Amino acid sequence: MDLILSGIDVLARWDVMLALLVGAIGGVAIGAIPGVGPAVAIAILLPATFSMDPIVGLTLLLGIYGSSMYGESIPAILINTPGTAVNALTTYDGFPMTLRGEGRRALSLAYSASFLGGIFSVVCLIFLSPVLAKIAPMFGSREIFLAALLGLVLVVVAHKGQMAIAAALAGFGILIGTVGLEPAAYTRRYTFDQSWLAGGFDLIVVVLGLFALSQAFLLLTMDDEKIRLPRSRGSLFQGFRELAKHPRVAGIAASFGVVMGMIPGVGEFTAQFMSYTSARRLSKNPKAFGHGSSEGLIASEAANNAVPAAAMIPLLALGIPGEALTAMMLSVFYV
Amino acid sequence: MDNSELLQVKTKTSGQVVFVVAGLALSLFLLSQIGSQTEWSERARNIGSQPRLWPAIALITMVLGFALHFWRMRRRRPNALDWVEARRWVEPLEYLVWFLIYVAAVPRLGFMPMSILFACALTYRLGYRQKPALAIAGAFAIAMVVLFKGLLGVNIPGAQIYEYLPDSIRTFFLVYL
Repeated sequence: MDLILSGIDVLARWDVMLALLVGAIGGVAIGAIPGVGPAVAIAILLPATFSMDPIVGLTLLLGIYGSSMYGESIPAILINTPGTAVNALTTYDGFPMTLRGEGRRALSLAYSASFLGGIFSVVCLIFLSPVLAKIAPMFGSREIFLAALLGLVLVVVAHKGQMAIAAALAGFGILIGTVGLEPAAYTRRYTFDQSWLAGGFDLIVVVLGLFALSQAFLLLTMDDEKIRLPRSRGSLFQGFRELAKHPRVAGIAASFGVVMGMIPGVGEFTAQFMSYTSARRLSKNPKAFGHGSSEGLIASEAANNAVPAAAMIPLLALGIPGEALTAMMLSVFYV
Repeated sequence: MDNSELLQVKTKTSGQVVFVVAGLALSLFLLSQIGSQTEWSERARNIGSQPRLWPAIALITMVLGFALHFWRMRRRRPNALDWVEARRWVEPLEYLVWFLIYVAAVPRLGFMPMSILFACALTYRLGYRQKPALAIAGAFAIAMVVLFKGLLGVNIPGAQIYEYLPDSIRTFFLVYL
C-alpha cells in the first residue's frame, strides 16, 4: 500500500503529469500514423529523455508505449491499414464496420476494449510485480540465463513455419551482442581491428537504426497514399455499453494479453492472435468474425492493450525485457 | 501492372531466396573468421566463460538456420521478381548515404544549418519542388533543432565553424544551434 501511495505521490508532480499527458496524447497521434508506431517514436525520443529527470523521461516513454496501441487501431479501423502488425487483426472487424458506416462505433469499441485491457494489465502489474520481486533475489546469473534462453526459444517457436529463419536471426542478434571487448578475459571479438567496434554495438544506436532510420528510409521510397474516409455514424461513447455485454470475451482477451506480455519474446501479436482465435471459438456467432463482429474487435484490442503493462513485469522484477520496446525502456533505467 | 505491383499481388515470398543466400554467405564468412576474431582462453574457468563460446553458438545457429530454410524452400533459384524485390531493399540505401553525410557534417557545419539544408534537399530530391513544400521542410528543421537541442537539451556537439563567430554570439550558437 505504501508503494502505491508513493507512486501516486510521484504521479502528482506537475512535470510527471505533463510528461504523462504529452506521452499519452502523442502516443495516440503517433500510433495513428501508419508505418510509424511507438518503436520509432520511442527510438527518436530516447536520446532526449537522457537529459530529463529519469522518472519524467520514463513516464513520457510509458505514456507513448501504452497509448499508441489504441492509436494504431485508428487507421486499422478507418482505412484498413494497421499502424503496425500488432493491429492486423483489428482490421478484420474494424474496417468492415467502417464500410457499414459504423466507424464511430468501431472506434468507441476499440478504445473501450483498450481501456479495459490496459487497466486490467496495470492491476496485474501492481499485484504481480511485488510477488516476482520477492522471487527475484533468488535469481542468480544461471536463472537469468535460463529465463533469457526461454525467451529465445519462444521467439523461435512463435514463428511457426519459419522457425529456421527465426533461429538464424536470433543467432544474428546474439552475435551482435558479442561484438567488442568481452568482460571475462578482455579479448576482442569480431572487431576486425577496428577500434570503434571495441566497445561493441550501443543498444540505443542499434535501436535507432533498426526502428527509426530503417522506417524513415522505407517511407522515403514509398509512394504517397491517397486516402478517402467513408462517412461514419454511431456514438463515440457507446463502446463501454457494448463492452459490458461481452465480459467473458473482454476478460479472456485481457488475460491473454497479460500472460503473453509477461513471457519474454512473445508480445502483442501472439496475444491478439490467440485471443481472437479463442473468442471466435467461444462465440455464439463465429461466422460474424471478420465481417464486423464487435466480439472480434474487443478480443483483438483488449489483448494487445494488456501487453505493455504486463511486459513491464519481467523488466521491473527480473531486468529482462520481453520485447524491443521494453528493451528501450531498459536503456533509460541504465542512465 | 509494373513489376513491383505484380510482386505484391503474386507472392509474399519474393526476394527471400536472395536474402537467405546472402545471409548464409555472410554467416559462413564470419564463421570462417572465428579463429582470428575470437580467442580460446586457457585461463577460462569453465566453458561458459570461454570468449569463443557465444560467437560460435550464434554463428552455428545462423548457418544451420539459413541453410535449413534454404533447403526447405520450394524454389531455390532466383527469378526476375526476386531481383525486383532485392532491388527495392537496396534502393533505400541511397538515403543511408544522405544520412551519413548529414551526421558527418553536423559537428563541422552546425546542427541548425545542416538540418535546414538536409530537410530542404531531401524534400527536393523526393519530388516536392514547390516553394511551400521547401518552406515547410525548412520550418520543420528549425522546429526540430529548437525542440531537441534548445528545449530537450539533447547533447549534440557545437559545430567547428561556430568557432569563427564573434565572441558575443559564439556561445549562443554553440549551445542552442
